[in-house]
Amino acid sequence: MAKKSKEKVKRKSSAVRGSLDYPFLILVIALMGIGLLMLFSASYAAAYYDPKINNATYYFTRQAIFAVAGVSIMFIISFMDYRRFRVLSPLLMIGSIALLILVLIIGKGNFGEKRWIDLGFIQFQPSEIAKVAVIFFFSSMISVNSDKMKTFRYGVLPFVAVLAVIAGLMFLEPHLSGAVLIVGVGAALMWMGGTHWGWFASAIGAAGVAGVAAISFLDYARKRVETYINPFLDPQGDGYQIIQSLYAIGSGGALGLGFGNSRQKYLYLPEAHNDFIFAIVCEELGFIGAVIILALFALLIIRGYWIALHARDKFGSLLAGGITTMVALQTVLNIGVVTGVLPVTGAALPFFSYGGTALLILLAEMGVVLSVSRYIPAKKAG
Amino acid sequence: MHAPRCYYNRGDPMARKGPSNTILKRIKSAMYICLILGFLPLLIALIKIQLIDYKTYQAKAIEQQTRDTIITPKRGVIYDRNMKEIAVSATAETVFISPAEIETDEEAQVVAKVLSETLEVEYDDVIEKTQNKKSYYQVIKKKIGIEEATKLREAIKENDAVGIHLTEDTKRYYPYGSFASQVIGFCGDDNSGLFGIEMKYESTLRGLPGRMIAAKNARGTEMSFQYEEYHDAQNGQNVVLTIDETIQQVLENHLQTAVIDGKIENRGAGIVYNIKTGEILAMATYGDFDLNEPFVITDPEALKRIEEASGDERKKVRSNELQASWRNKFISDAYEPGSVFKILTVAMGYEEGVVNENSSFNCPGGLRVADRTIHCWKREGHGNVSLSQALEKSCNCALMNIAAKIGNEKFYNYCEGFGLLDKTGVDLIGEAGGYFFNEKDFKNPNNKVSLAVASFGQTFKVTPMQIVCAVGAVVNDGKLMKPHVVKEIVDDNGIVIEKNEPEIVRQIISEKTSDFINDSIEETVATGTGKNARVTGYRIGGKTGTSEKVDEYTAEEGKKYIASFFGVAPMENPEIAILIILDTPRGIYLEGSQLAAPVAGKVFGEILPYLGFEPTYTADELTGAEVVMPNLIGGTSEGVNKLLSTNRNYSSFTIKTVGDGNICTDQIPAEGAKIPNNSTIVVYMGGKADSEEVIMPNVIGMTPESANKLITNAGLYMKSNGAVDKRSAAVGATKQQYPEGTKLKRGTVVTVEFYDVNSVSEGISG
Repeated sequence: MAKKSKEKVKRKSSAVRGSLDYPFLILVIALMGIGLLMLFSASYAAAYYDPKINNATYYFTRQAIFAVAGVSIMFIISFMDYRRFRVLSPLLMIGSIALLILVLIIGKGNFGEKRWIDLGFIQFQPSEIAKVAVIFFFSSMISVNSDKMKTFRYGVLPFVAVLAVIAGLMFLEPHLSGAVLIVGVGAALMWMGGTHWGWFASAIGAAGVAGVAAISFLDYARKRVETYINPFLDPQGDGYQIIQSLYAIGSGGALGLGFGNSRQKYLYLPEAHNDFIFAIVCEELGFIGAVIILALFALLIIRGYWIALHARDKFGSLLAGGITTMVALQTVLNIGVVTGVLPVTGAALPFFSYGGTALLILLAEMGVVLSVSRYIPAKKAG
Repeated sequence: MHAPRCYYNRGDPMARKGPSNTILKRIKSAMYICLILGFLPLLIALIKIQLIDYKTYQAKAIEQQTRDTIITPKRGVIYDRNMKEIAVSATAETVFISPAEIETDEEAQVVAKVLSETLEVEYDDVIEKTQNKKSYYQVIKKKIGIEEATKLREAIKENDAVGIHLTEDTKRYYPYGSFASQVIGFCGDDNSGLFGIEMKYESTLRGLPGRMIAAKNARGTEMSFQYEEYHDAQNGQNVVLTIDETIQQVLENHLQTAVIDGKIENRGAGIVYNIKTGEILAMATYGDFDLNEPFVITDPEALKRIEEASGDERKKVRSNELQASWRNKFISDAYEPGSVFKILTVAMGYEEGVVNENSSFNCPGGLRVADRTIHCWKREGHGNVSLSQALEKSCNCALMNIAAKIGNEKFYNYCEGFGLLDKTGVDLIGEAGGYFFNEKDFKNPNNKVSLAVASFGQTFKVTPMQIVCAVGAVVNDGKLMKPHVVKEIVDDNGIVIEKNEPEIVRQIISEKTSDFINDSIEETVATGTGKNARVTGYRIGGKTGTSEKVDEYTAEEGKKYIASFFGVAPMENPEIAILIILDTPRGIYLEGSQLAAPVAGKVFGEILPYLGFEPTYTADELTGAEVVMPNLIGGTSEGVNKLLSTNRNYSSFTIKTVGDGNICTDQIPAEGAKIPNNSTIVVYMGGKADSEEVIMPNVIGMTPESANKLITNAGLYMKSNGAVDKRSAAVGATKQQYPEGTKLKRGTVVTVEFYDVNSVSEGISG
């Protein structure tokens, strides 16, 4: 293992730093800009009517500051050589596990759960850092052991062990959606790394059996599924949020009510500036606006994978692939929930949902992808 | 599970340099999975929600996002023909609570306390309503007045009560209370008319409601800066009736007296109708009800009947009594017209030329028709009667003869022509038709019995409205008018939007026939059965009727009659008709001549001067004609003498002077008193009149002459009403305004009613 990493280090010095990938950069900037504008509109009423805030631009101002800081960080990181992060990845992993344990002791949350660590001037979720840690650590491990990925010992065991620890800690917070996301990203990286498809088929099969069992034997699970299938069964309770979301999306129709003209944001739709911001986007910008934004996300993801496919080395390829997969998963999970395609879980929409540190981390990750794009070999070489 | 174990390494040269083929393949597959399994379902979901099902979501969203307030328009006013307000809408308020805004039990208790103390509602009922936690609208009390609302507002403020709201509403007020109740009708809680004019002209009176759509947020706060729409309410238009408030009051007063005095079991109805224009000047049914309290029964007889009913029956009886009191008898209850109908039969015969002025009929007291004998009401017979006398004496035999000459077919066709087979089309709710003979059966020439009994108005039924129109047509030169009760529709600025012009339905008989009938019916009142309708100074025509309610005969209840009278005046140029119907008298009098004719006479006596018809007195009538006492106080003896001797009205006074001063200091009677022109008046020249009160004597049963003497001697003045034929010993006082022994101020005018007891019977025609 040590021998191989030496080889890589040697190769690193020989790499030529090119220019970053403009299509990806433009897509990131575009989504960030639109996301910020929509946050302004969507958070307006919630901020205005909240007696503790009473300032319509409160959320927007804070998010804008983080966006500016995040874009700066993104550029700084994009100028750095991503291969240097490789050595940091075990450290990152250990650190994030430590934070996940810490959060169980000192963590805070809105409903009694322990998700946030409050540093006074800033709050952050250790799970956000864990996501980054998993991507880096897995990419690093896979790039070293890529030829043994088909084995159980190298291709399955270490990854499953790490994911089990992280997911287990997050279950304790509890932070179910975050755990699902991390397991998803981890599994995606294992898939890209070459773990035998049989393991995935088995895992999906097992998950299916577990799901059916849960629905059959647990009232809580069954009720959840029933509300998911027909939210109008409990319009004032469990179905309320998704119904209000559907009202917002439907109200938009083809052309939308116009920017700033959402009605559902006037306290009808809970979390309008957060997990359900896309419903307000649909209401204000209509089907056309929603599809354009959906297309921007799709293009960003395609370009992310394109960078992964053209990366100079396995580590870069897996980093870009992992980060892109994570953005894709979050996007699909969020919009899936908002449109009623998926059952309600808390998942933020990248670039749109309110949340400073999450945005900061997201933009840092975009910086990593841009860094990978800089080292794409010239065409004749690839 | 079998774990895959692969130890081989392809050793691809590219693998060491860049990502291996496996990684590239797997990344590509991840991308496709993302796009196809991730993004494609999202796109499909958006298409479904935003392009296909969007209308449902939009509608539901708007429903929750907006507050739609209906702005009630002001309901139009109902005026009488002189623009007196008969029905007006005033602002009222409806109180409701929003339990969703009431969070704690303490708050609910405050709400209940405030409401129960100010609005007379039950504390527990309010508490119960506060339990509908999700509701925003629970009505507490409808239509409270301004004062109550102000009191409530203060109480809300004082107690810091939450969730109590007041919304503007309107309430209908009827300033005249029980006035033309069945004609005007009333409104329900929703301010729409339930019957009468209020219902018939609902669309005119109602106006168009306005709407205010305002955005609200999820907490219910209105956001005035957001999408707001405002549509003005359009006020209702005002209805001007042909009803004259004064005439209606006169009719109702006399009808009420007649119903009570005559012990009328099944209510009385009357109309004052302009036969030239079809305008209804007054229409009344007694017992009636207060329009402001339509669900309260006031009639003591009805209350007694409800009291008598037991248990579940009582509710039903009460409901029936209510329905009955709301019923406009004049247009809804068909009756057998009896002798009043004889006018039509005679008019048909005269018009057809089968009889004329010179015709005469023999009345042996009954006629053989087909297989039976039909009696005249006067069993001993009228002997020989002329055509005119047939009406004056109301002789059934003469009428049967006339009808036989007209023939079945023509008789039936005339009835149709007079409008007896159709509703009159009066603009009121609830007009019923009659029950007339089957055309084919009646027109069979062999059906002599039906024709014979129909000739004097029995065995078929029509409404009083149909009769007044048909007989009115005979009097009005043969022109059948369409009756109406609404004169015009005006808007808030008084601009006439619609006007009901007189509408001639058809001319059914000639002017010549009309003239003949008019002479006959005038004679009927002057000397015949209609004497009790006479009014000094006016020429009145009329016909009495007493019909038997054959279909309602039961052994225990005995025979039931309807007493009626049709009158018309002034006969110089007939214009105003009155029809009085008294259903089932149970007193000593049963006949139209005794019960209904005096009502018409009294109504004519009051309304003809009011309507501007000048009385013209015959020389005979002039003695005792009514004059208004002038003011003499302050005049010199010379001036007083001059006034009293030169003015024709006062020249018949006997003047008694008391004192020897030069200036008049007092007079009996007081200024404005209406006294006969041959009365004795007292003029005080110095000093005051004797202020001691005098005692009312008993004059019941006396002739007008002796009654007058007694009353004058007592220091009072007599005003006589009814059959004032001084020479007839048969005329007797039946009623005096004040009972015997009442202490009255000297010079008070006392009204005494006289009936011609013996010579007025027209007989019971059934």
